[in-house]
Amino acid sequence: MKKIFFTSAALVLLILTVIVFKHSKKATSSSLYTLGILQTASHPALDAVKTGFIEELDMLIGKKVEYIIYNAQGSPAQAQAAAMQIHAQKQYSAFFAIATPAAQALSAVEKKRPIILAAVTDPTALGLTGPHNNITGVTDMVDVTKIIDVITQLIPAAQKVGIVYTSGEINSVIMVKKMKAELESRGLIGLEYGMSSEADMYSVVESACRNVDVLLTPTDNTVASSITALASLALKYKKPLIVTDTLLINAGPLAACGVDYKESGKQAARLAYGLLVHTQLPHELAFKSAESTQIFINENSLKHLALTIPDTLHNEIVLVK
Amino acid sequence: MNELIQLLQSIIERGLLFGSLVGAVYLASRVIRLDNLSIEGAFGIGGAVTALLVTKSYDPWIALLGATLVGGISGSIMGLLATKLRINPIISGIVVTTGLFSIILKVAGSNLPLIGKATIFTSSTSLFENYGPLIILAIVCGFVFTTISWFLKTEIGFLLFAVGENPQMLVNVGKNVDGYVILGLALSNMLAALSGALFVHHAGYFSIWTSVGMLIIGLAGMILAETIAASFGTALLIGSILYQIIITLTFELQVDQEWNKLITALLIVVLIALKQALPRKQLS
Repeated sequence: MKKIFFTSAALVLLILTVIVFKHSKKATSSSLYTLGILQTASHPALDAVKTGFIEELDMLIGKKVEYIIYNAQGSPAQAQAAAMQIHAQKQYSAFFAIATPAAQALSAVEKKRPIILAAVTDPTALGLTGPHNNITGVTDMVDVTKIIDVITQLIPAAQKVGIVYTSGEINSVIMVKKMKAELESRGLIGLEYGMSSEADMYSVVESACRNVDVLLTPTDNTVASSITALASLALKYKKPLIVTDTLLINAGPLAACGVDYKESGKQAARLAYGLLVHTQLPHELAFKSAESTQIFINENSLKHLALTIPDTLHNEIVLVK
Repeated sequence: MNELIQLLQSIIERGLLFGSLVGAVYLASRVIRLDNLSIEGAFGIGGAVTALLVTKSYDPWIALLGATLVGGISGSIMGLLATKLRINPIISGIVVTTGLFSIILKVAGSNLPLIGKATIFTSSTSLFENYGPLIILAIVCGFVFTTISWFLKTEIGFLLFAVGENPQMLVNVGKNVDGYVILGLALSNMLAALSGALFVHHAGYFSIWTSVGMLIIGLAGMILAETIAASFGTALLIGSILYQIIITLTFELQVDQEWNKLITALLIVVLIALKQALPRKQLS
């Protein structure tokens, strides 16, 4: 038993030493600005936002920024814990929150220093916009009209569109409502297929494939995580899959049109540049949207589904293998 | 130094927020000795109900009370499933949590911000500034824990312990075991719902995803509390605070963020191993 006691005590001492060492290292670093990044979860779209942000900001300011990254691993409670922790530290000049839980957690505790957010679909609905607050950022709301245009032109015979999303994600719910309204205004039938987690994905998508002509997804975390399986299911049933996150095109959907998450990060970086270097105030910087005007089409899926690209869309299309 | 104080303050606040959750797990696992898997659902419905009431401009304390009562109802339902329908308690808990997911979405949606509405902490911040929430939480937790501690020492409380330790004794004395199981689960879920409601008041918004993983926080907090004392009381609050210290330490280490969960797991093991080794050292 003595061995356990001494090993544990040694571990605790080691941990404390590492922490003290890291803190003293921060004090002597030569960077001009320290930025706290709070990322909601580990998945490709949010990782792309972070990478785009860091790359662009480093290019604009020239490697004079130190980034301290916190990842809440998908838990709003963890996001809140991280937010309270970084709020308590005075070294940060500004904060970058990626996705809704991080944005809500940070904005609840930090009222003075500027917060830039990204990958939040409707900040106004969440109470994050305001004439005098410290928040600005990049939304990932898409142009729903354009996406439905793509569907009607690529697959003119489509009658029923199945929208696959996660019922618990507020961003998706907001987008799904808009998509359904737009579909109905065009005389198409929009059917909702809401899953509660990745585990439901197979059954929900198979059910959708048996009932609809086209599958459509909003920018949704669960969809992004399970895109490989989703896309192969869609191809198996020979149903065109349209996604709104351009990053996912390589996984096999027919078309991707909407948000480029890496570009989101870059736009957020430009806002950060304005905040840090030009010392603009957050409420002077308007929220940007991260839309990509290009329509990406996966060539393999196109061949598999035996569809052709109509002339009307030719100019905007980018073919991807 | 000021930073350290603020950090400690936020750790204690969060520890108190989840203290009731740890109490809920204790009531289920240690008093009536049933695995209560509906705790996550209760945490969620507590948050949802309080968010709904606050956004409809009800008095925030009424919102808190309402949430706690609804939690109690969810516990009673689980109790009824387990006793009257003789459904295995684990399945009863899972069934209640699953059903509650849909009910929560209908009550509050997946995300409900309390924009501009008064919470139980709003008035305190004008009186005590940054320490307001901590003081209110300490008062609420103090009140709740003292009441339940006292209750567990009454005759009904004693019989609740008997449900877990020696149900046969209850039958011999002519008491209704089922009734006490339902009471125990109702109390457990009331505490879980209270914790969920307090979290919403503190965070300023409700998110259905917050309740995922709450069972682990409750269980870990309870096990850590038991390294201090085995009875219902401040030990549970300290256990919850200890878990928050571990989460904070994990973030402080600032390693590749993907290791976070493994580090948390290791720190829990270290802390328990440390405590386990101590008393034996004294005996030998």
